[in-house]
Amino acid sequence: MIEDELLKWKFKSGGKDALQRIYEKYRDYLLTLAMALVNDAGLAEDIVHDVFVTFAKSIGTFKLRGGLKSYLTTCTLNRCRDQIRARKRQPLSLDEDMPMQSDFDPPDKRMITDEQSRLVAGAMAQLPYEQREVIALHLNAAMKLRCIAGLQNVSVSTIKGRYRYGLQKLRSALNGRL
Amino acid sequence: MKPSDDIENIVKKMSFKVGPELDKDLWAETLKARNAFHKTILSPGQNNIGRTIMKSPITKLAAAAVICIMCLTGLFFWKSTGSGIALADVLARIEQVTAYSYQVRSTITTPQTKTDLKNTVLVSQEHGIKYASRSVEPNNNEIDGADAYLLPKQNSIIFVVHEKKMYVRVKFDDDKLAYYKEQYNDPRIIVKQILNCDHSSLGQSVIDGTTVEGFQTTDSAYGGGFMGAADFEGKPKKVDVKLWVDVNTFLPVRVEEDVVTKDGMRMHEISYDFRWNVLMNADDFKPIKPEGYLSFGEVTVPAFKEENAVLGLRLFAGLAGEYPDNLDAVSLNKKTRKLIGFDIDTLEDLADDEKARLNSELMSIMGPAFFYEKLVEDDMDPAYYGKTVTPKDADKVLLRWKQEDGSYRVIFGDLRAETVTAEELAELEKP
Repeated sequence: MIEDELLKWKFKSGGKDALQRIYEKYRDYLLTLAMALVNDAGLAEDIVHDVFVTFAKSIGTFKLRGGLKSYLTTCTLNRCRDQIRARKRQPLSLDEDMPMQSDFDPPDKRMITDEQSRLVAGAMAQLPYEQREVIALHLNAAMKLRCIAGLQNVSVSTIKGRYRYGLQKLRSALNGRL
Repeated sequence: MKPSDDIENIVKKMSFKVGPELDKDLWAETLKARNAFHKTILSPGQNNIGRTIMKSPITKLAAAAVICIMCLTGLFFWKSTGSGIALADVLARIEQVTAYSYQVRSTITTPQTKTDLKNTVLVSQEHGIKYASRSVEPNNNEIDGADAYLLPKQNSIIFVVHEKKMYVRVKFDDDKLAYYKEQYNDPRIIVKQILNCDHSSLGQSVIDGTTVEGFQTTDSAYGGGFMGAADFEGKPKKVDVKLWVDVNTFLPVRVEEDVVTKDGMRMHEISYDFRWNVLMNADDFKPIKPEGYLSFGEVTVPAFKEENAVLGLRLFAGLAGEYPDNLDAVSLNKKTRKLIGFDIDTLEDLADDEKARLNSELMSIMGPAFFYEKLVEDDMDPAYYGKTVTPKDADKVLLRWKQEDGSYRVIFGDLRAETVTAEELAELEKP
């Protein structure tokens, strides 16, 4: 936390080193989050790219009172939502299932992962987007359910329900495959 | 328990890491976006002293320029430091101040000499910076030393050297002046530097009836104050910086810096009598050039570019038949003046166009020193081999530095430039 505060200040002061440190600190985290949400290697790559490029450009106007990680998480989340909306090319229906089959190429030169992560990401892609988002934000981004409720603009009990149902589906989807 | 029963931990463990190729692309794009922004906001004509961008490379470049002037004039013109505190808040508070002044006492001790200076600094976001330096003799008599005027509207700095009864105008290209203004002994730099270093609290105290809170750093990474000269020759051997801030206004009250360079020079400086948000007008920054003072002419510091570095090396080699041993600004300046017959003592006898010619020649040859200093500051892994490589060593590496994409730019002994990979460079640098 203290490091992030310092990084924010240094970044705002124009420090290239600070930007590099922020990039190195959060690149894998953001990629994992994006993969958990979109399960598409190319899309996840674009999203992380956009987040960092936009962040780097924000140097002159950067005013962040909250945490750096939360900020980057929200940026990634918003882009994932945008991409999913754009991909469907129809009015947003976040409850529609994403295809189970990922077009993510097995560990290639651009991403490093393992078989289990690929399976989990694939199983998460079967969940309705809103359940997937709750699980990814809570488990991968360590965000509290109350905060997620704010992001999805629903009650905490709804979030708890989405979380519980999502986990049940994941459990059955992965049963016997791990 | 089946693996799927521990589903929360399984999801938590999910991991996708950026591979080397993707990493390279992502970082290159990110850096490009950041650099494009820097380029835009630092474009020529934007001369806001209050700009908050700190780009340490220019500290050293500006310092190099000033050292050139020091060498030219033979005067050891000294600078002071600023101040700082708790610490991001203090920084924010200082940035709101439009005009301020303060006093500085400096003592520079080498094994052979001791110099005492008493300086007054005026800073105005609108008008510029005035720095008046007086030397203090052992009997406490004060003698006018030199005044410096940083004039944003004229993109120049004017030095009036009372001891030599002469003055010189230093012009900076493009955005360098904007950087220079930012770096010119600005208290913000001290705060930023302390923030960047390991530092500790000194608790509260009282200075002249004002309750203050202190901060201290002894981190050798400290490069603030002294206009970057403290680590001009490498990291200092010893650093002790104390900053005292008014607990009510969050503005600096006193700064004490004690730095010992690796060469054993000790620089002790106290900044005090800070007056914040004082009224200043244009006349306060109008250069005073007493009658009878000799004009040293106008000096233009070359842009910090590869081509200027190559040009300087070519010119030096043309005169000396070899490359400079090192690219330290002070020693290169001395050697060059000797080579081109730039004698300060006979300057008075020279016509203005001859002075201009000598200044231009000197600054052209100084190009590689400024460029190298920038490479060091940008942490671009530079290396210079002028001690062993001559103009006849066509294929030996004379100067090289790392580029943002990981490749290396190499200037060879015959002064041609090529971009090579790290592996190729390793081969080239094999003895």
